[in-house]
Amino acid sequence: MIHCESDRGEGEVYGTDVDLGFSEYQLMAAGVPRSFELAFGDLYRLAYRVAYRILGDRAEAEDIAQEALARATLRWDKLHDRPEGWISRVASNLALDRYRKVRRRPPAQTGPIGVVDDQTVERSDLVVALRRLPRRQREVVVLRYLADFSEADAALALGCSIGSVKTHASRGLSALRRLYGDQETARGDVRAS
Amino acid sequence: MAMFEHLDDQTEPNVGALELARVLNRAGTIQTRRRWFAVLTVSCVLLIAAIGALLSRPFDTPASTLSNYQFNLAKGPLPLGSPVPTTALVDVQFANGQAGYALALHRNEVVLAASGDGGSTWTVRNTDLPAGLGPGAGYPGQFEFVGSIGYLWGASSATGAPLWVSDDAGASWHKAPIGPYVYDASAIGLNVWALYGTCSSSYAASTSCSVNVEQSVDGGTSWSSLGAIASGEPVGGRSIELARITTSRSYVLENVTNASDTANWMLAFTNDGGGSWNTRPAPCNGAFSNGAEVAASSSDDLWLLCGSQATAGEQSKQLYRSGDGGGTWRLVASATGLGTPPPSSVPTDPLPLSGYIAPFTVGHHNLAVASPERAWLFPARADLYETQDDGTSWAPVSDLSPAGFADGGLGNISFLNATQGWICEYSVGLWHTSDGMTWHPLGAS
Repeated sequence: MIHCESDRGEGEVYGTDVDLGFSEYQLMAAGVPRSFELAFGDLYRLAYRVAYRILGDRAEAEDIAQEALARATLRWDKLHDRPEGWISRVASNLALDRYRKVRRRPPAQTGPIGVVDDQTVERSDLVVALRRLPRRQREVVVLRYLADFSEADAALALGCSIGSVKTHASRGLSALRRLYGDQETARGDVRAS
Repeated sequence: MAMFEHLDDQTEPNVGALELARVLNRAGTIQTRRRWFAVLTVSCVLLIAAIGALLSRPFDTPASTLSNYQFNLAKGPLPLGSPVPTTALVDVQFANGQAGYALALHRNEVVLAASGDGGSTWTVRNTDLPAGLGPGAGYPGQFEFVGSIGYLWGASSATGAPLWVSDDAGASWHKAPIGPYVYDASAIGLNVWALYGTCSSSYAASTSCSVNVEQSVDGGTSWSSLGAIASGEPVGGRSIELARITTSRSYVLENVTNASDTANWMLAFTNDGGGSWNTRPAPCNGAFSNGAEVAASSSDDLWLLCGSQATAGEQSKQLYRSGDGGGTWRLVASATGLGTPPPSSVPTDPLPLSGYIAPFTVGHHNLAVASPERAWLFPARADLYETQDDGTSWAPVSDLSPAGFADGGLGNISFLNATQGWICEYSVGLWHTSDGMTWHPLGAS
């Protein structure tokens, strides 16, 4: 099991903290192993967090988390050792896709007219920047900075060395900052004009 | 680390049994969707494969999938092995119950088709047959196969109408050293006879031509003369029919013209393998002297069909029977009209008036006799008729009446034995009987 040092206390392990009360019979009938039920709470919160950081929408993030977990159940026999990395990546990909679809719809007016939410702008920049990253850099950035994995856990989830994670994370961050800067500049240009 | 913590939801999401139930429900939905997608994918792949196979194989499919129209749309020369629809067949002969050969029309050219399954499917065996066989020549020729040895004649040219022999089931043909005009041929095993002369089928009646017989005992490789048939009178090339009963007993029906240009029919026969010939008059006289066909069920049981001038799809006919090899004849049925009064000795018109017999039809394949009691008559432009009472009464074969055999296309009827036979007509199709009673279509119709 993977320990996420930044988020969890010592000894807190995925899959040991939640029992949702489903009987073995119910789970067997649903084709779900007991280990999935035990890991469900942490994995759900993980997927929700990744999705929410991208989308900023509670309902959408819950939907993404449910979708990611539903997909995970169908391949649980392959994931149950280290499901966190896979679920984080699936959740981020789903969120990026969902962001594009949501953006096509007219944004819901939630605040005073003319007031732009800073986090909305930041999320927009984040989505644009993530999409422009090479796949491996995007995966490392998602695990390290959206799912808050440690370098060791990210390396384990991606099946690469810690050094490789460091390299990709460094390059990814630099690219993000550069892209963020470009976005800021672009917005500034637009505003100036 | 935690560089996007400020983007977090400040309120933790609910995680409980409800969420798990929703997840499990969604997993079930996904699984169902995937299964349907898999089924759909497989279905699409199979459909595409089927469509692709259909589009890519105009000539590698069973003949039953091709229509005559599609067959004739295909540009020639056709690749050997190309399927041939049964509706393109004009003349069918079977060497045994399975191996059959047929002349088929493709874009007004004649090709040789072969079947190895009793006639259900046909493929092109030869597209380079001798010239002069097509409908443009007015005569698609006649052929016969014994095993893999084939004989083909009737292809006219300026220099003659030779007999062609194939030793490889029709794949290639070479000219037999006889002629120049071969009128008819018949093979019993490797023993082959051919009637030939020096006059073409369209020569003037006043021209004196004799009919000679050549024999081959090695399947058409070498030939020797059996002499001339002692008719002593001019004969018409096309109106000659050779009917071999055994290797020793044979009949030749020939049209002779006397000094007053009156056509009469004579029946020459030999009982010693062509060593000597005797000629007797055939009863096809007067108004019934314009056509004749002969068939036999045994050495002495002969059926002779006489016809008048054919016109407008009708032809008066008389059927005679002989039980002594043509020594005496008995009129058993007739079809009268067109100025030919009904004879008083037979029931009125038990034979069909409609339809033509030779030489107004292709070859001499209109009459097929299975036994002294049973026979079939397939006149051109008429239905197939059957008799089960010695030829006294005739009735259309009910299985075939709706099939369209009376449309008037080229065709023939051929029997391998008393019960197994085939009937084909161009653009109608090929039908088969295995019991001599019921007929079933083969391939495309």
